[in-house]
Amino acid sequence: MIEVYLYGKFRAKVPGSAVDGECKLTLPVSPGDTIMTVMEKLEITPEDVAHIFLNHQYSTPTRKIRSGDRLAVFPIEMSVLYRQYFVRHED
Amino acid sequence: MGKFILRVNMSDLSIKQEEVSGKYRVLGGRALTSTIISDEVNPTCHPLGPNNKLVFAPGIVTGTTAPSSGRLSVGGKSPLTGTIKEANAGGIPAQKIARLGIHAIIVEGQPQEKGKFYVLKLAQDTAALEDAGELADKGMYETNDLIWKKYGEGVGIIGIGPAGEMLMVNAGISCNDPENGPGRYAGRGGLGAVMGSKGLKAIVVEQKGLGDIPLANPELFKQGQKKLAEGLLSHGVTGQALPTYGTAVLVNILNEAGGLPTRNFSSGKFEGAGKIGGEVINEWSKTRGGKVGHACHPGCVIKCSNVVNNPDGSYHVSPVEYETTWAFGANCGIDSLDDIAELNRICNDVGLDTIEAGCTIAVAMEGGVIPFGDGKKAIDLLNEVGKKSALGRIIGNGTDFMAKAFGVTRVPTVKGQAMPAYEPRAVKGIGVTYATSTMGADHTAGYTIATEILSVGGKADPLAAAEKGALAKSFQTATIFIDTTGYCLFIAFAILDLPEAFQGMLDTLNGALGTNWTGDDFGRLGAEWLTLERKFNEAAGFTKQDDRLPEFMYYEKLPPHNNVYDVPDELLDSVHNG
Repeated sequence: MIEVYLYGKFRAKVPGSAVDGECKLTLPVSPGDTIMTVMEKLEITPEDVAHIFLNHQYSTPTRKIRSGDRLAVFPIEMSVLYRQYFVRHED
Repeated sequence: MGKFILRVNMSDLSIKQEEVSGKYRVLGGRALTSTIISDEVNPTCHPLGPNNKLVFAPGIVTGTTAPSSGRLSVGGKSPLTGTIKEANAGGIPAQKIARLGIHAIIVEGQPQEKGKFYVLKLAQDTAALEDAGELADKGMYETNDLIWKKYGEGVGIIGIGPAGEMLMVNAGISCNDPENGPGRYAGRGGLGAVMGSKGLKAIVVEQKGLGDIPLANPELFKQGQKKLAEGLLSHGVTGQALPTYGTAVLVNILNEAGGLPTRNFSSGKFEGAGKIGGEVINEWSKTRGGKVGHACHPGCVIKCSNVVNNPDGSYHVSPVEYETTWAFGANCGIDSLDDIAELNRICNDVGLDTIEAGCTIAVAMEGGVIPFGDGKKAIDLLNEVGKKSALGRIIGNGTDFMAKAFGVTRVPTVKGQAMPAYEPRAVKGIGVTYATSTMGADHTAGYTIATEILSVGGKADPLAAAEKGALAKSFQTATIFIDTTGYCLFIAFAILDLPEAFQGMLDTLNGALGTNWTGDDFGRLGAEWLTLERKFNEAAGFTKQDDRLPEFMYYEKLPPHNNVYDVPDELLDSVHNG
């Protein structure tokens, strides 16, 4: 299983989630799954995403995920960050 | 460009108009304040003594119709850091000062009578010093109310609260916003104490309309203004994210990155982050009233400011920025946005910089004065400043002072100034800026060098240390250039991404000044001005050994990444000497 934390307008994908609380989904993971696989399940396109963090690492959607991972996804409306701040991790 | 410089001597209470000399003509904002300070102030002087000076300067295009250009620079020798200091703020006074034709205001000397305060009143063709009378010892909310009642609604106000009057080295300088709130602060470095040492409680600026600011090439200016405005409105950050969520949107982002300093820089992750960020402020603007997309001055198209209301819908404070909600929130372990808003309001009223105050309270918590996470006790503690108690004086003198008073060794400062809300052990590039800035730890001193380029932690090394240092310096030179123009630093998002917006910015400057500055001059002039500041600091006694992060960051691992700061000293040294 993987924990997915959603922010901004993506919170609407979890009915009843409060804006001041954690908006968390727990999803099953299959071998070979990537962040993109999770985004597709949630109907989130890369163009609509500002920042992705996998286990607190700034990440590309192509990274592979494993059971026990923590994934956080921020929508494009929340792109307030100088791009250089973090190493972008890729597989 | 302003028509004259106003020299205000607080020793004999004289005011003189001076011509704008050759080298000052094309300068504004930070380049102008730092050049005047370098020319006129002995770097070894006591910052609160008679030989320091305080300079106010609107930016090059401040007062014109250029978008988001209403910044006021304030410069002097800092009593907090001992370095040269420039702090800038939005609000309404800068545009009015520029429209009166004032290029800069130099405040010098000290009143003969200790504890005596004055108001400098500026209007078209007049400038006068008046007894501050009932304003002395008043908080900034009451000060602003009294000034609007006396001098008329809409006047610009630059002022200090009781912290500045008491010469506390974390005192900031307030500029009023369009609704007369005091929350736009030139906050960092204790320049409010310098203003207090001059016996100046406030500057009142009476001016209406767009004024008459001469433009060397109005057509070029107009073209540039259009290009830049289009760039700011079309860019995702300046056109969408900042007006929707404000800077506090960064709380959740930095928390997910493991770079949100928590409980006095002992962790990079705060479990209560979700309760104190921009999403909640946005939500409250719908449920409690208040506002997001608030402009701190007329003509701002970014509108990152906000108004945060109480639970009953009444006005509480404006603005709650990322740095403030972090400083009193995550860094103090407090997850109540209402308590954070109150701590913010107290700072605005008594006249303190919120970053320094938040770090000071966090160090007090670590020193056992009050527990981490107790918002109500933090409010009581911060209120000590206005009460003039001994503990209040320790708080008002900043993070280093508090750490010494209570024996705390985890002290997140560089050159005596507290770090902002980006943990250097998680965002290593910002650590280079904190360490090597001419201002002490300052997140606005330079766009951060990418961690990939720093290549610390045993990775491949694509650039030599000298090249990395040069790159880091280039971000600081870009920043000093923007701080000179009068534009808000947030235009950097658009001008560094969109060539048309960058050209638009240059066109407005060339249109205003009659210069032919190019992209190369952007770097060249910035480097010259930065060198000037650096030389002041060297003459004040600073060496490369001062360009370091606090020791604990080199040996304490920061969760969740469990990194120490490992950027080598050689790289830090190469920033200014590569």
